[in-house]
Amino acid sequence: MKKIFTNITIIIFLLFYNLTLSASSKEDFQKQRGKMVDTILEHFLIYGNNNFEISKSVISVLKKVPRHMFVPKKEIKLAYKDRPVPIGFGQTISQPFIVALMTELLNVKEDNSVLEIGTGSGYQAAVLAEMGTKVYSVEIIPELIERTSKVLDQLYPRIKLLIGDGYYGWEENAPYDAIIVTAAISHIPEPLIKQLRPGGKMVIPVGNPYTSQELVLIEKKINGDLLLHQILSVRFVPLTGGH
Amino acid sequence: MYLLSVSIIAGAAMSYELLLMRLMSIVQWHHFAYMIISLALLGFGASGSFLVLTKQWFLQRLKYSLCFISFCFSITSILCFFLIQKIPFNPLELPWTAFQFVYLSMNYLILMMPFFCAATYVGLVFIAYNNKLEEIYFYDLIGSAIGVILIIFSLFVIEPQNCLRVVFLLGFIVFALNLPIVRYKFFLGILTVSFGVLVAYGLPNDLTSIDITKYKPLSKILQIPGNQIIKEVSSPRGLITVVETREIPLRYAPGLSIKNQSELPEQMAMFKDGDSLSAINNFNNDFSEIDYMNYMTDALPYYLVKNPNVFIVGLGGGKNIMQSLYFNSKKIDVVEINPQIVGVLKEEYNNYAGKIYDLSKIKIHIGEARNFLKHSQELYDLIQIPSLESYSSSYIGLGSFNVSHLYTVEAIENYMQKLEHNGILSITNWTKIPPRTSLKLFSTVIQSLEEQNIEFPERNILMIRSWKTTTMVVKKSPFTQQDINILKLFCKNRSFDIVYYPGVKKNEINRFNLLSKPFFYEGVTHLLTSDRRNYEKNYKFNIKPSRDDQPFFFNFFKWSSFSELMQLRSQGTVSMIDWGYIILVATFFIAFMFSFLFILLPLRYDRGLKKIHSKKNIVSYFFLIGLSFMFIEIILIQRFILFFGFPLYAIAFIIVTLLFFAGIGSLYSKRLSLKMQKTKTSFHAIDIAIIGLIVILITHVFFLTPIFERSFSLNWIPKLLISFLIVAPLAFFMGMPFPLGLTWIKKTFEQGIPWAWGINGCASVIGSILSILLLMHFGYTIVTFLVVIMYLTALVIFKIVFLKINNY
Repeated sequence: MKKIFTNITIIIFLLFYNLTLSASSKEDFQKQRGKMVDTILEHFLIYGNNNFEISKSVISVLKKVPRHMFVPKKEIKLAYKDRPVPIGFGQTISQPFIVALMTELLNVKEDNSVLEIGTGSGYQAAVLAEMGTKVYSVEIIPELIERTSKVLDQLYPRIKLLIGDGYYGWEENAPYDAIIVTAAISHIPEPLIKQLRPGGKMVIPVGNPYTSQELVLIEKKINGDLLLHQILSVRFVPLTGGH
Repeated sequence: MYLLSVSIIAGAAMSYELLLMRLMSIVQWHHFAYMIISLALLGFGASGSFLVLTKQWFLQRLKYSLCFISFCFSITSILCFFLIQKIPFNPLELPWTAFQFVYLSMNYLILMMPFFCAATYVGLVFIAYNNKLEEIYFYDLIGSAIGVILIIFSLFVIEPQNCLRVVFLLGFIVFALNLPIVRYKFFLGILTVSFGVLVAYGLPNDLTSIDITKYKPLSKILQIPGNQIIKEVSSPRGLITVVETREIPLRYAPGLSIKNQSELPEQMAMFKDGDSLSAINNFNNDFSEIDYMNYMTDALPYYLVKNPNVFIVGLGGGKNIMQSLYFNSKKIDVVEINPQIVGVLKEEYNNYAGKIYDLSKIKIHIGEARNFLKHSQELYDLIQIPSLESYSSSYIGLGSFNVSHLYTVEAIENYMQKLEHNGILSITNWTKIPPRTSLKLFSTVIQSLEEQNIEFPERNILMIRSWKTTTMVVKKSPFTQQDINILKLFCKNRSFDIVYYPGVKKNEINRFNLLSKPFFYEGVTHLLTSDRRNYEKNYKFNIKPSRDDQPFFFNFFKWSSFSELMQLRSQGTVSMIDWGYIILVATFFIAFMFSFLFILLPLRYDRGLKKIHSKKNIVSYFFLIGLSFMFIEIILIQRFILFFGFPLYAIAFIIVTLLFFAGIGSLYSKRLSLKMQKTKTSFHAIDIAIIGLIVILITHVFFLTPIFERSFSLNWIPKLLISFLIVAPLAFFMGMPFPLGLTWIKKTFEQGIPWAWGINGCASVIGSILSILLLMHFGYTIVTFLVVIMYLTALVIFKIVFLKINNY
């Protein structure tokens, strides 16, 4: 009974929310998304790392996912800006360019299963779900997942959420074709490596939520060997001269 | 009574200044310390200008005014701290929105208010009782000194946020002392103070609570279910917090190899000021429980020296001791500067850590590492320096203006001197890409080895890295082929990358933690060529060797790269900019703007100004001596941080000693000036003051370091005595140029006195920030000589311009 009541409340809330967004503001968000994608493309083209080109599928997904739905109401103006946005609990929704880069690095295909450690705002999970993957996402902060699940349940009900310790991954759905760890970690958890399918990829942003533009990409080869790539999202060469 | 009230309010203001530094270090990061010195000075300067325009009004209702101002001080001391915590200033947001600088300005302005109130109170008393200036000045200084002692003591016994109540109460006592009542004065005064005590005690916790930024590791860890603070120890040295993780284990092992197969033991998290996380490992004397320590980059030295006699810098959570035990070290000496950490670990968590602190082969010493080593007779097989920079602040460069004497050319020499013939120095740091810390350390070590006349320094160095940590190993004698074989195997078995060993080949590097280019290898190999200086000069970050004279190891900022990094910040360079430095520069401009607005601009409305504002020489003289005073103050604070070990002690000691002895100097200057006029020599009191200053400053340049070195290990009393001997004579002479200038103005343009005060105040506000910026770029010696030049210029102005014009 309680669950039904909660769901009805959420539906009413979302309906009301959608109604309050006039057609013009929806268009406005679409425009903003278009601009956001243009900026991402520009970053990839001009400064992006030579080794990574953004694929059409990622671009089309970024054009679709309503990023503004994943940020707190008071930060909605910042939703499509070229920057990370605070979402409370000392966390941020990553800069769009970094979301694009991480998604690109994971190189997921339709029906792949993806594990996300650190659901946060839910935006990254939504992007991966929009790519057609099965997303399993684990979040440690109950208050955060409570908020995020309200949005994800309506927009991307296929995404499976779990409240708990992401260190051990989500074994019952393993192995995964890709793993993305957005939670702060001091080292790469061994259980996650085990749950990654041979040939799969894992991405970890490094640094604090506002500066996590440095990424670690782990490739698990078919023979089980691991290869770590430390990736700077900027083409920052040469390190000497030029001034 | 008014003398007592001046003492109390001066003491309260001084307490508040030091308390704010402590509180802001907890709420945010250390970068607020110099801003607080600057804004306190602004409060004093602004009050001077304010009084010039309003003194008549206040004097007509003196008692009520004093009562009101002291009440305002009380209220603002609580309210302002409460308010600034409501301002969403977040240094991590700086790269993304310039509006954060507005928040920073708001912080500055709001926190200035209590100082403005206190200074207005003292200024008004000075004006009202101008026949007793010396006495008031004396009580003002005594009050400030007692305020410092009071707050240091309070910080030992009360939580820092509750010290705000003490400051509030002091203001309230001054309010009670000024109550405009005639009858039952004593009785009503006691009643009011008692009421004040009740109010201070009963102030809602919300008003005084510390709201630590959500982006500090302590805030983050407390959001995880089941995590709770189980121990808090606070003192002027810092706030130590221990967090127990009941439901979800901590699992803290930075840079742990992906080849590690073992589970991490249960851990508790320990924080300093809500930051600098270290883990306290649960240990039951079964070494397999801590097997993971064998899979970290800092385990390498234990493979190069067997069963070593070890020296460890810093206790952390005790991990390095356990690692040392794991590798069966013969003897372990640890030096920790903070006795609170030693107390917490030895007394509270010894059982949890398997009673390792009871082992006879482990000795924990409280003190400063370099100083301890200097006086130790012992030689070690291994000196280990774990990463001492906080991970969270290092990623945004907030520690860029923190002094670090452990990573300088001279420090490396100290370590090497205390190593056995085949001994090893091991230093671990966070891996940053593009490399900064590792390359700066490499160039510092190379420089040091060269200065120690080691013929082929490149033969004595190894460097490895994981994706998160980099370990550099320096051997007193050249590394052997066997050492290199061990290194290769160590790295292979752990998937760590070799950065450098003597004879390293290009195909041996960048194999496990792949970078698009072998940045680290390229960097170190360039630093080993004869073109090293050029490479350092052209590198996009400051990787020049760090020295005792310029010990800002964590400052990598270069103006020449700044615009490029800023342009690329959306593409990935945000973490490459030292935002601590940017905050400092922003604070400089804020200080400049506000000192103009609140000190100089109001003076334009003073009638006397029109007559004198064209006198550029007055401006230059008072600006130069104000700037010089602050430069010396900041240099002394920076240098005494090393001597006393903790910033707050150094700041408290220097501010009080300078105030006190400069006060004596200023009193004496009047007498000296009169005396010299009587003798009718061409020599003036200003000559004595400036020559005295220059001689002492130059003496400091050459002798301060050796004096510190000899007196490091002394007890507090002789240490304080020596410190007084160093600072007092300098402060005495520093107090003279200002009153001598004022005496001259009095005789020529009396109405220009507020202008002189204003200019001097303005220079002090700006100087407190500018000095740090200059020290970061040029070091102590050059900035000291700059002060000498400024004083000499002031002397020239005084002698040639002032005296000539007036035949004074």
